[in-house]
Amino acid sequence: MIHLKNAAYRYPGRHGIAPWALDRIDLDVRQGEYVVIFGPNGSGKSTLISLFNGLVPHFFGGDFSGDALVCNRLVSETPPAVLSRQVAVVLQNTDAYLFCGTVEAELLFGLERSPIPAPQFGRTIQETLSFFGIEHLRYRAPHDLSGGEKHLAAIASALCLKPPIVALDEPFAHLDAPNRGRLRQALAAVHRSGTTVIVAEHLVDDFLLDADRCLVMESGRVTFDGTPKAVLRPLKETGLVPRYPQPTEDTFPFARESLLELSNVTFRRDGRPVLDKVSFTLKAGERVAVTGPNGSGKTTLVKILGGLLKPHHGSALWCGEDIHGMPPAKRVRHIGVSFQNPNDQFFKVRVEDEVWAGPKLLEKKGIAADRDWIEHLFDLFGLRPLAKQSPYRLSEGEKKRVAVASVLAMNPQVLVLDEPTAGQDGRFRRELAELLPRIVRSRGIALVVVTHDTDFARAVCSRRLVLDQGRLVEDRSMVPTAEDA
Amino acid sequence: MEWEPVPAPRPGARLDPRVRLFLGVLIITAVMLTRTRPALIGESLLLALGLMAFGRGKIRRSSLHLIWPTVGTVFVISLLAFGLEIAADLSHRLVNLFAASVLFFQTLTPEELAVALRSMKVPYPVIFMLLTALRYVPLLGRTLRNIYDAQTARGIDVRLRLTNVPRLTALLMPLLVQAFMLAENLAMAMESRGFSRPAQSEPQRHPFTLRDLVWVVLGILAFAGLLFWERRGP
Amino acid sequence: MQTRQIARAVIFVALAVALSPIFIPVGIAKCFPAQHMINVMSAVMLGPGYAVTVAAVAAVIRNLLGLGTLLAFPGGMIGALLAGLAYKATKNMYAAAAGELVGTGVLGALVSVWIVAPVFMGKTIPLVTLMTAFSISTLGGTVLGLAALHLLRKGGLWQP
Ligand SMILES: Nc1ncnc2c1ncn2[C@@H]1O[C@H](COP(=O)(O)OP(=O)(O)OP(=O)(O)O)[C@@H](O)[C@H]1O
Ligand SMILES: Nc1ncnc2c1ncn2[C@@H]1O[C@H](COP(=O)(O)OP(=O)(O)OP(=O)(O)O)[C@@H](O)[C@H]1O
Ligand SMILES: [Mg+2]
Ligand SMILES: [Mg+2]
Repeated sequence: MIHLKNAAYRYPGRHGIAPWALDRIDLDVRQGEYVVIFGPNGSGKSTLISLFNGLVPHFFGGDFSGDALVCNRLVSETPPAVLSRQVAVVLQNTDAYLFCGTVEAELLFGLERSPIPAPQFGRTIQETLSFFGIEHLRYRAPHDLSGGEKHLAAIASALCLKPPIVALDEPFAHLDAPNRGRLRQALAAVHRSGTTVIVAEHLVDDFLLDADRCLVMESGRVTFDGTPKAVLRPLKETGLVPRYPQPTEDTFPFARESLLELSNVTFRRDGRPVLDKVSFTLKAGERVAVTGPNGSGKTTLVKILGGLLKPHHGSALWCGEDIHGMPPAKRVRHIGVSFQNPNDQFFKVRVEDEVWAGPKLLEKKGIAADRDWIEHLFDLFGLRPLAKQSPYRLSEGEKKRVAVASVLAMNPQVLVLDEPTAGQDGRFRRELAELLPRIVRSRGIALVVVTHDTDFARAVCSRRLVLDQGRLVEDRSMVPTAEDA
Repeated sequence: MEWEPVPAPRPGARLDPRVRLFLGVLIITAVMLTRTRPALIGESLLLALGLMAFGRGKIRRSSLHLIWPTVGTVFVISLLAFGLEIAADLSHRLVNLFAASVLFFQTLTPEELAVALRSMKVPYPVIFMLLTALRYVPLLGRTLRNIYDAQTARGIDVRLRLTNVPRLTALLMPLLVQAFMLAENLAMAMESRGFSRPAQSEPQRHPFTLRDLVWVVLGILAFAGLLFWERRGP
Repeated sequence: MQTRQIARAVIFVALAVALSPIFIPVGIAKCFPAQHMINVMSAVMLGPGYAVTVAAVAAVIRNLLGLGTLLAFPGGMIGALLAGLAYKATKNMYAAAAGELVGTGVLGALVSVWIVAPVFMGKTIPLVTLMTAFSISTLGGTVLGLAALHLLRKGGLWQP
C-alpha cells in the first residue's frame, strides 16, 4: 500500500536553517494494517502523514527526494487531488477540516467529487453515519459540536468514500475519556472492515491495544518499528512516556492563608447552568487539579477565577474582595490565568518583549516589576536561547512555556492553567510537572490546573476537583496513599 | 431514499430561489427608480404587505439598529438643507429601500442563494466562499473573544476606546496570526478532501413550475406598471 | 496555488463579517474599521479580483445576517477594487491604502449619496456630510490594515 524508500523532505525556505523534516525514511505499510506513529513535537509525524496524500511536496513546495509509492502511484508525480481518493487524511485541526454548514453537507462535499452516482448519496450518508453512531448529528452545524463529535464527523466524512487508507493526525489529543473510548471503537471497526489505519499521537492510551504496529519518530527519522507491546520500552527510554517525579505532600513553610473563596457560584449560558452551585476555597501552597468531561464547565470556571465572567449567583472572592469587581491592574497581580491556546496572547515579535509586556504596562501605572524574578523566569523556563526569536515560529511546547512565563512575570499569588498539556509531548509534560510544584513551593503560590491527563494531575497536584455538568461532584486530596504505591 | 440538494426545497412550498433572486433585484431596482410621492406611498404599502406575508419571525432586530441611524442622519441633513417636505420624501424613500432589501435578503437562506447562484453559472469558488465564510464567522468571533479574555487576564486593557488604539495590536496581531493559520489549515483540508477535483455529480435541478413562471410575469408587469404610472403622472 | 488563495479569501470574508459590528467611538461618530482593513489586506495579498469578490461576498453575508445594509456594497467594493488596482500597478502598499481611501471615501460615498438621494445629485453639497461617516471608518480601517501588514511582515508570517 505505502512504500517509502530513502524519502527525504525539507520545507521551503528552510534550506540551511533547519534540518530535513523527513530524513531518509524507509517504510512499508501493508494493506489492512493499523499503524500508530509516536514522536516528540516537531519530529515530523504530521509531515509524514501529509506525504501520504501528496500535500508534501505538491501543496507545500520544498525539496523532496527518494521514492514514495502510495497505492502504486508515485507521490512526486501525483497531485493531492488524485491521491486523496485513495488516502483520506483527517487533519488535527477539525475546525479547518469541517468547512461546510452541516454534517450532511460535509459528507456530500466528498460524495459529489467521487465516482459514486448521485442516487446512492442518501443511502451512503445514512450508512456511514450509523456506522459511527452519529445519525443524530446529521443536520447539526459543525461549530455546535463538541470536540469528540467533531472528530467523529470528520472521520465519517473522510470514510464515506471508502478509501483504502485513512490517516489521522492526533485525533485523541483534546478528548475526554468517554470520547476517547468512542473514537477508539470507531477506529477499530474501520480497521476490521479492512481499511489501512494510520494514527499519529502523543498519548499512549488503550487504543494501542487495537494496533498492529508502532513507529517512533525522532528528528525526521524512524527510530523504532515494532509491535505495540515492544514500543513501551523505547517510549519510556526516550521520555515520550513521561516518568513523572514522585508526587509530593504539601509542605507549608509559610502561613496557610486562604486566597480564593467560591461559594455557590452559578453561571448560566442561554438559560442553562454551565456551573451549578460550585463552592470551594483555595489556600496558599495548594495544588489543585480540575478534571471532568468535555463541556462540564472547566474553562468557564477558569474564566470566573480570572474575573473575566461574573457569576450569576453566589460569589467568587479574593481575600474577601469580589474578583470581577477588582480593577484589572490589581487583579493580575493576584491571579494569573493562562488559557489553552498560547497563540491567543502573543502580539510582540520577540519572546522577551512578550514576557515583559505585562510587567511593563504595570510599571507605567507605577507598580514596580520584580526584575530579579522575571530574569529568573527566563532561566527557569529555558527561554534564554529563544529571547530574540519570534514567538509565532516556536514549537508548541516552547510557545506554552512563553505563555506561562509571561503570566508568572506579573508575580501572581494564584496561577491558573487551562489544559497546559494538550498536544504536548511527554518530555514537555515531565518538565512542566517538575517545574510547577517547585514554583509553588518556592513562591508559596496556589496552583489550579485544568487537565484531562490523570497521570499529569497526579504528579503535579495534591487535590482534585471533578466537575460534571457544571456541578462539583468530587473534591478530595490526591496525596499518595499506601494502595497507590 | 432519493438524494436531494441541500436544503431540500419541497416543490410547491417555496418559490424557486432563482425566481426570488430575480424578484428581489427587481423590487430593489424599482424602489431606486421611484421619485414621486404617490409612487413611494404605493410601494410602502406593497412592501408592508410583503413583509407581513413573508417576513414573519424572520426579520432580525439587529437590522433595525442599522437602519434608523442612517435614515435619521439623512432626514436631519436634508431637513437643514432643503426643508421638511423633501427631507420627508428622501427618508421615506430610504426606508422603502431598506425595507425592500430586508424583504429580499432576510427571507432568503444562504443555501437557497447558493443554489440560485449555482444554477446561474456563478463560478464555484465564489459560492464556496459564501457558504464557507458563513461557517467561520462564529468561529472567528469566538477566537476574538478568547483573545480578549487572554489579554485582559494578563492585565492588557484592550477595551475598544480611542485611548487604547495603540494597544489594539494586542487584539489584532493574535487574531490575524490565527486567521492565517486557519487559512493555511483550511487550504490543506480543501486539498485533502478533493476541492480541486471537479464535482462529478451536479445537484439535481428543480425545473421551473408554472407558479414560478406566474410570479416572474407578475413581477415584470408590476415593475413596468409602476414605472409607467410614475412617468405619466404629474 | 489557487486553493490557498481561495482559502485566504474565505477567511478574509469571515473576518470582515465577524468584525463588522466592532466600532471605536470617535466623539459622536463611530469608526467601523473592519471592512476597510480587510480591503487593504486582501488587495495587497490577493490582488484586485479577489479583493472585490471578498468585499462583495462579505456585503451579501452582512445583509443576510442583518449586520449591514445595502450601503455595504458601495462602501466596500469600490475601495477594494481601487486598492487592488493601485497595488497591482505600483507594488506599494501605501498606494493600496490611497486607493482604498479614494475608492471608499470619495467614490463610494458619492455612489451612496446617489442611492440615497438621486434627485439631488447636482446639489448634494450638504449630503457630503454623509461622507464623513464613511471617511472616519475608511481612515481607521486603512491605518489598521497598514499596521497589520507591517506586523505580519515583522512577525515573519508574510512577505510582499
Ligand atoms: N508549514 C511548514 N513550514 C515550514 N516548516 C514546517 C512546516 N510545518 C512543519 N514544519 C517543521 O517541520 C518539522 C516537523 O514538523 P511536524 O509538524 O511534522 O512535526 P510533528 O511531529 O507533527 O509535531 P507535533 O507533535 O507538534 O504535531 C518541525 O521542525 C517544524 O518546525
Ligand atoms: N462562548 C460560549 N457561548 C455559548 N456557550 C458556551 C460558550 N463557551 C462554552 N459554552 C458552553 O458551556 C459549556 C461549558 O463549556 P466549557 O468550555 O466551560 O467546558 P470545558 O469543561 O472547558 O470543556 P472542554 O474539556 O471541552 O474544554 C459547554 O456546554 C459549552 O458548549
Ligand atoms: Mg503534528
Ligand atoms: Mg475547556
